[in-house]
Amino acid sequence: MWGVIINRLKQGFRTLSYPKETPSFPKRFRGKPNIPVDMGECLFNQDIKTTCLKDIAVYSQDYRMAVSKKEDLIFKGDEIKLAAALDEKMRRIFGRSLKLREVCAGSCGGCDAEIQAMGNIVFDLSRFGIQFVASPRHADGLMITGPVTKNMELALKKTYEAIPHPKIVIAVGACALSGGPFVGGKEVHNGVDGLIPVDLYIPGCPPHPLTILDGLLRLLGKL
Amino acid sequence: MMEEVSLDRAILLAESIAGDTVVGHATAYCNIIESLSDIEAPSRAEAIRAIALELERLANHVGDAGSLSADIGFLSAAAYFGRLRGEFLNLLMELSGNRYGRSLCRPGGVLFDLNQGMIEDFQKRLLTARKDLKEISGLFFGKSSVLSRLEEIGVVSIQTAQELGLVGPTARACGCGLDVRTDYAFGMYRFHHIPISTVSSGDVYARSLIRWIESQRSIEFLLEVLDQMPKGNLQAKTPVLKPNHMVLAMVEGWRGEIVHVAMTDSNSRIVRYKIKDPSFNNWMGLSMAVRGAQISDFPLCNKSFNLSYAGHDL
Ligand code: SF4
Repeated sequence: MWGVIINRLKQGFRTLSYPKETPSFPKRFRGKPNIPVDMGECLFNQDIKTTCLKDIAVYSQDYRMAVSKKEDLIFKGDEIKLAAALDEKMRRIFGRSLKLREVCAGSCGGCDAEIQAMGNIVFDLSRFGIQFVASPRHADGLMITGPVTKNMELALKKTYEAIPHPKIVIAVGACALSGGPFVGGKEVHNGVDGLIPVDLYIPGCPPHPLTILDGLLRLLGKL
Repeated sequence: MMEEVSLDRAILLAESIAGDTVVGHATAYCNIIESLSDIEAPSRAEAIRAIALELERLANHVGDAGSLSADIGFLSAAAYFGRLRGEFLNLLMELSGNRYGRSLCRPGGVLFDLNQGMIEDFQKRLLTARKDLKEISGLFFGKSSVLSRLEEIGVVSIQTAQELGLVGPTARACGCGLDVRTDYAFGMYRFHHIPISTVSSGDVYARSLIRWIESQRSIEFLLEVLDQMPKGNLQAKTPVLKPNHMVLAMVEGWRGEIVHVAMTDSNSRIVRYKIKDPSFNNWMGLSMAVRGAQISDFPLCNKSFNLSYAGHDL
């Protein structure tokens, strides 16, 4: 008992003050690209082949990348149109409590690990009223990772149908956006598009927890 | 899919075999390409790969201890372990720009260096992490209510482990002294040794304890390597594959032994590439552990193995 209390005091308060303050990222962090690419296809790898001048850094340290429309993923070198908030009615329903069901449709597990990390005390997802639930029947929305393997297609569609209206769909990671490293594979679709409608696209491989959180908060009109 | 894509893309695919074992699989892939083309990564690169591999092990072992605490309802320990896992991932991000170490290992070497300032910073942060780990694990393993929930749950005997060919920490928790880092030492492990740790009881307790012991040893290893970083280049020359060869690479990932095998044809193209993730060996172990057990013990057994679905279906 005393041990627990002493430890609690030693551990202190660890939650980020995000979104009030933006945390700093290490110099090598690969955020929003500086060169024109399709962020949906981008794997944010260091050795990306570019035709650009050598002295421009390919990636900035900007972690904000979530968008609402597929077209907005194509970064032309200017500003990106970050995700818009849901309409007034949807925001009234979901603004203070959003329950999501996560489906891993053949992902490598990287994106899922980052989604799970959002729940830890550093990011503390639940302080924004967002939680993950264990059944689509309890959910307001669907979060999908992975390129959608042929084996998971039916399960994904059934999950989508089992969620009561109105619902939102969030695609997380290069895989779910475009097939990622698995694009063109025999056993996979190239992402969620064309299978079910998507409301929020979050690029990255895997996206940083703050990139996902930023997208979610934008969707709820909290940023 | 490995045979169908270009070499530039294959490494990205290798990094996506199991999202929590990016460095392990990438190292195995690099070792394959390096053996197929008779080049050797410079020792500084080997050291950096080993650092990343151990950070990956630490992040996952500590994360697993956190999920185990959450499953037995010890939420404060779960929160502290979860935070500590993040610290190790953040070190990997300092090094490679990605929390899981993507883009670090490339055939022939690594893409990122550690400068003196970073080395000192890493050492400082590892020392803090070592202290934190000691305190949190002391809290966790020192509670009789925790121990009573872990002991004698999901027992796998050493015979079963040997018959099924279990690997990694799971096998070591049953008393089998298997560890690629010692048995077939590769890269930096040829110069800096990590002693094999084993526990003999084969239960959930053993599988959690082994994670704690291995985490301590990994931190010691990291401090040792960081203290004596070899100098030199980061990249050897570009690999050119040899025709008609077959190679095998083994790496001790945090889950256990990762094996990659590749074959080239007469045009030096890779015609067959087979990957075995440790999850493949260990799934049967999980089935044996839960046999005859109560439903409420399933989550505990499951977390204590923590296998990868992505890594199994290959
Ligand atoms: S986007 Fe990257 S991290 Fe996410 S599931 Fe796909 S390969 Fe894994």
